[in-house]
Amino acid sequence: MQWLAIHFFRLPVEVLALPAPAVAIAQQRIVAADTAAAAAGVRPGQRLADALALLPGLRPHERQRAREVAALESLACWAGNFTPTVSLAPPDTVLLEIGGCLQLFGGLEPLLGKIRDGAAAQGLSLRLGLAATPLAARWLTHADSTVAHWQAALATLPVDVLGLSDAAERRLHALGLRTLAQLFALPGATVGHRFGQALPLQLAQARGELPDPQPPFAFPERFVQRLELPAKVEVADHLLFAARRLLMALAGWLQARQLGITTCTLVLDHEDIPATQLPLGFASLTRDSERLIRVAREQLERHRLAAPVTELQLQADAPQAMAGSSVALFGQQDAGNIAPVIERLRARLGDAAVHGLAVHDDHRPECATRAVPWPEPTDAPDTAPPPRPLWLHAKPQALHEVAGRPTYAGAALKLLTRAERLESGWWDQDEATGDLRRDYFVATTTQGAWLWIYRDAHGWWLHGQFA
Amino acid sequence: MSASPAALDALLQRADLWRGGGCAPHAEAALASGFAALDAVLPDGGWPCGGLTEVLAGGLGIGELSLFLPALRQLEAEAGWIVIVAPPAQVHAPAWQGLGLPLSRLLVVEAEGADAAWACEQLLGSGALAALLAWLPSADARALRRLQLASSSTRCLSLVFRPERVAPQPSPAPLRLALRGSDSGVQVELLKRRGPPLAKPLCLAIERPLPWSRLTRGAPAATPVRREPHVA
Repeated sequence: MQWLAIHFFRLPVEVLALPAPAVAIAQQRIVAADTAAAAAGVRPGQRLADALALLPGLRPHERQRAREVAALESLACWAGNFTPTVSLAPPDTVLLEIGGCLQLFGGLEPLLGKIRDGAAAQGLSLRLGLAATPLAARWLTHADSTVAHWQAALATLPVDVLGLSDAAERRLHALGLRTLAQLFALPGATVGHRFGQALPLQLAQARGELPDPQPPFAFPERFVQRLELPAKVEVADHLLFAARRLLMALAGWLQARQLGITTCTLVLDHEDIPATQLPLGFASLTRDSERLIRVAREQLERHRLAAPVTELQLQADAPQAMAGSSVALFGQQDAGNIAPVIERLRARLGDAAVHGLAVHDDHRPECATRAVPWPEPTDAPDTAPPPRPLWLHAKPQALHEVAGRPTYAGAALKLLTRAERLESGWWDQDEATGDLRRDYFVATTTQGAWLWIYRDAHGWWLHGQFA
Repeated sequence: MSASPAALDALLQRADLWRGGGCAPHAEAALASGFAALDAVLPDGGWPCGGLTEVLAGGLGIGELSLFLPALRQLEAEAGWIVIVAPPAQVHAPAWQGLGLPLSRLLVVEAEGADAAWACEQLLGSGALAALLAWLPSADARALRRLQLASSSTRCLSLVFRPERVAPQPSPAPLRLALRGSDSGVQVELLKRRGPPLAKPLCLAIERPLPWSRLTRGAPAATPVRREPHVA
């Protein structure tokens, strides 16, 4: 077992997503300061007045515990990207059992890199702690320590990490006990007698001498998450940052539940008018956060907001089971990775602009081709088909008849075949192509172009080209 | 003092040494064009996979696609997708299928102007393409350069079809062809290749719906359209 504790130590302020510098406050005292405020010397526990004296431009905001709880659950979903064994350690820590997934990510460093990048993309600061026991991992987040010799690192931690009462801490200091190593050296019974029975228990759990089972985080059955925006957003572009948090959580949730989606809906809540539904479509079943974000970006860039947005909501529509993919063996080429590109093209050009083709059994040329969203395996035709052009004009072009012969661009055409009669189609007379009666010919121009022309009661028409 | 013949041979084997008379040897993979006369004059010994090929056709229907049919048919299913970008007319599926092109690996992207060039670049970047057939009549040199860059890092047969009138404009494509129709086949002129210019165009008897001999034989006379008397 290897536990990684991720401590979002600025969660109370970062969940508010205020412009820097900002602080979250409770009872006129600082709870958490963002990076800019911390750099100016603002510390948790300070009075707001002191902080404002240090940094006059500071934006204080009352702490919102409900949002912190929601954010921590969302982060647990995101952690599903890395491991299925996730536990919450409220108020601001998530515990991941990563012993089983190191191989998948190619070692500890690549995994930690991914976690740090993911948190940075969501605008969250974190400290990590790595140990064989969950409690030690949580304590080690104070030193942001992910070293392999976690026992040695644990021993050097100050006693402050224990989170004891002020009185107990003062007594520890009075006894000259500053580090955990000094505490470990004392007999457990004595420590329990002086500081309460919980402390030796915790010390034993942290060192792995007593079991410390963690309740696993239950990934919700349905994914519907909301994100309140700190200020009304008037440009769709600016929503991407907030949407990214939701999408990354969605990707983790899908990963942990072994699901994939082809659509999800981003709901933009407005103050006065009904919410806007922004469907995000994917060419194939996916749970890749990059793909989710890319499609969301394309959609948001093109979207014009009807009114300022106050809140975002993301819901996964109809998730389906999606098995994991195997890693390529012996350099097999995977031709399936066209799907992300198709999504990008569809997001920009429209869904109908990218399509596959299927042959429809109809003798009328206009009706023989059908656009399909995704090509299907087809069988080659058994019989040699009559000559058909590669290009077909949606609207046949009228050709002039001069001295009984059709002409194209002023020059007479040379007919190469006898008439091929295509007729009938009475069954969709009123709604589609309808009844037709045509004689088709293959013809060439003096420039050497091969055309497919036909003659009907109204004259000569150019219908296609043998490209 | 004279260099030994062995040293000279070694020198001639170098890829970066370009001799005036021959074509630059090129490491890129090529796809046999299906015409021995054409393979002999193409620098790679076939259509280049990776790198843009610009095809300037003097009109629709002179055989601008049929010229590439033998190569397109060779593409294996594992090689990837065949994508048609901004086709000049509707793609008639039965004809494509009838000529042996797999509809199951064919995608059509309808786009115009700058969007079409952007789509090509995105598609080439995916690395999932076996062949790209794009009609970019209004693409400028900058767009083509971007495509050439995107294409050179892939193993995709990248064909860009453009009208004949852009022939005098400079182009970053390493291979440029001009096609003209004729009575006995399609005239292929190599406007640009990695090598000396070709003295005279090749005439290739490409696959057509009817044998070429039909062109020179007497044709069935056209019967004029009988105008139906207008019933009042």
